Amino acid sequence: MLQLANLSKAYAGRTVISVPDLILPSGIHWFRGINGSGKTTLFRTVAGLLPFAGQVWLDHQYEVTKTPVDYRMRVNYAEAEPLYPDFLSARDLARFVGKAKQAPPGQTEALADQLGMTGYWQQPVSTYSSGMLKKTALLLAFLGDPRVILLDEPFTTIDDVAGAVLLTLIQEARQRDVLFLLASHQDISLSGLTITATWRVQDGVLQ
Amino acid sequence: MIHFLILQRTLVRVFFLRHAGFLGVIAYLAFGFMRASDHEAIMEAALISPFLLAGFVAIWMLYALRAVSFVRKTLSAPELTFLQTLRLLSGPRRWLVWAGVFWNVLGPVIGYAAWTVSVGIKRGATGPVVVIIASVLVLWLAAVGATDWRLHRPQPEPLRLPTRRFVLPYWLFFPAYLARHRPLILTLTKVVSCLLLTGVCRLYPTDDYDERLLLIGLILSVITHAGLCQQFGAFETRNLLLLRNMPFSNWQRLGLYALTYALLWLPEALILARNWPGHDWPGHEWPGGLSLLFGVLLWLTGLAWLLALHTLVYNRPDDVDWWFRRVFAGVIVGTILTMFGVPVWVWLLTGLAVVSFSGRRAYGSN
Repeated sequence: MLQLANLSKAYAGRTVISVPDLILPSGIHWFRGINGSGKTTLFRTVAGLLPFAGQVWLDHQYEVTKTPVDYRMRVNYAEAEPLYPDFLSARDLARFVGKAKQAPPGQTEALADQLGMTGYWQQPVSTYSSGMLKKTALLLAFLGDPRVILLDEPFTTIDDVAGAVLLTLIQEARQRDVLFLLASHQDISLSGLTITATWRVQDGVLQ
Repeated sequence: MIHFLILQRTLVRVFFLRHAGFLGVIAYLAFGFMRASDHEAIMEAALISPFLLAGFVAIWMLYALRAVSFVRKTLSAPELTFLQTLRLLSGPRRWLVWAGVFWNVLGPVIGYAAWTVSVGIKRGATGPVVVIIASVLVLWLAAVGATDWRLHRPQPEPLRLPTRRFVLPYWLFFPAYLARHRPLILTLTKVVSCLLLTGVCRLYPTDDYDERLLLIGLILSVITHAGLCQQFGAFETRNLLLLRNMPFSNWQRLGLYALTYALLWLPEALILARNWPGHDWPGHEWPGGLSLLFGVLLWLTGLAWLLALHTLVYNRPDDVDWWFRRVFAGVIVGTILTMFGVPVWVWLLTGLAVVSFSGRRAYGSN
């Protein structure tokens, strides 16, 4: 379970997202909203990427600023438009993140194989298409033993095959009771996933 | 006019902000330690020595190369794609706009060359004056031409390197980025920093100096790296956002950064070892020299302050001005305190304290 309390994120004095109180039980939560509504800022904040005011608790035990190491060990995030150093390969990034997130042996290779990345994952990311970059971000988001996975626009730019693999990965993770936060403009309810709740983000406010 | 104003803000201003640390050190050395008469003496020597004059032109060329490389790279940045619309301007008008941009970017070179020319005219050195004017004109026009050429070819084919068999460890990410994307700034930083340390090490035995000379050399050497620290922060904010999601404690993060900076700071260790004016250094025994322990502390102090600069970048990653203002203030305060005899171990502990405090602010508490 994820609990947000008095969460507020501002840029240059302008509040971009504000969540007074929100409890997200285990399941798949779909966040919708127009461009610039604050979805990505909310996801980055919950993932611990941005400083903010307020609290984010995981399972009543881990708080993003009070226990940052334990919290980040259990919360993973995939960017909508990932950007990596162009001279690194997906393998470099996966080994780095996998080691930090204490991924079990073989997990990285298995995920790369499932996502169809083994043919190119030793190449530098400068040679990747946007879909290949997205698959890299998705691979990194499933590494380790996360309790929460935030996926920002997970289905954009990837092909149908990768999309089907992603659905399988989400369903498998759900069997381990992983909580998902998905931001998407596409109708996720058509994907066959069981959506626990749908949230609309508008002008930095959750509805 | 609007095109020139936009380029002024997107290229010229950013160029000087990014190089403020490096240019500040040069200005500090050139106009802090040397008087105007010293400069004119060097200029007069250059006017009668073709070799020295060639040295002047070589330094100006290095500066122009850096400026052109920066402008060309910035033009390819995704956020500045709109500048491609400059292609719609007529050729002469575009060249005029670029000429205005490079008049400003090459300002330090043009200014110093104009001063040298005025000295040359007073001395009646017509030949060298013509050479200087021609050199600056060639640099200026070459800069304009090279930039306009890039405008027409905005995304050149990158150099394809053979596939790496080994996995790149994190502490090599930034050095690899520098080697691939910022080779000139890396080279210039290391050359200037190593020359500064070599200079103070060799100056030490020539007069009745004490440890303060080495400490002032260290401050200048560390501050030469200000641009690299800023680049490091920008690199991770832009390309490695995922780092903030990694479950590292503050000390783990600082340990990883310390490894990277130790690698970047390694040439200075070799320079100190090679030129150390020590009383207990093999081959350099000298009763009035410095201890080996002081040398080790000096290097560690440099490393600690590089880390301190790094953590300060992360406190305000989007505010380069804020950071550079504090860096300059730090140099002035540091130099004054050193003159008053603050010892190296105090600098080391202060640097570590800044790392600890600033690191906590930057990455949160554990």
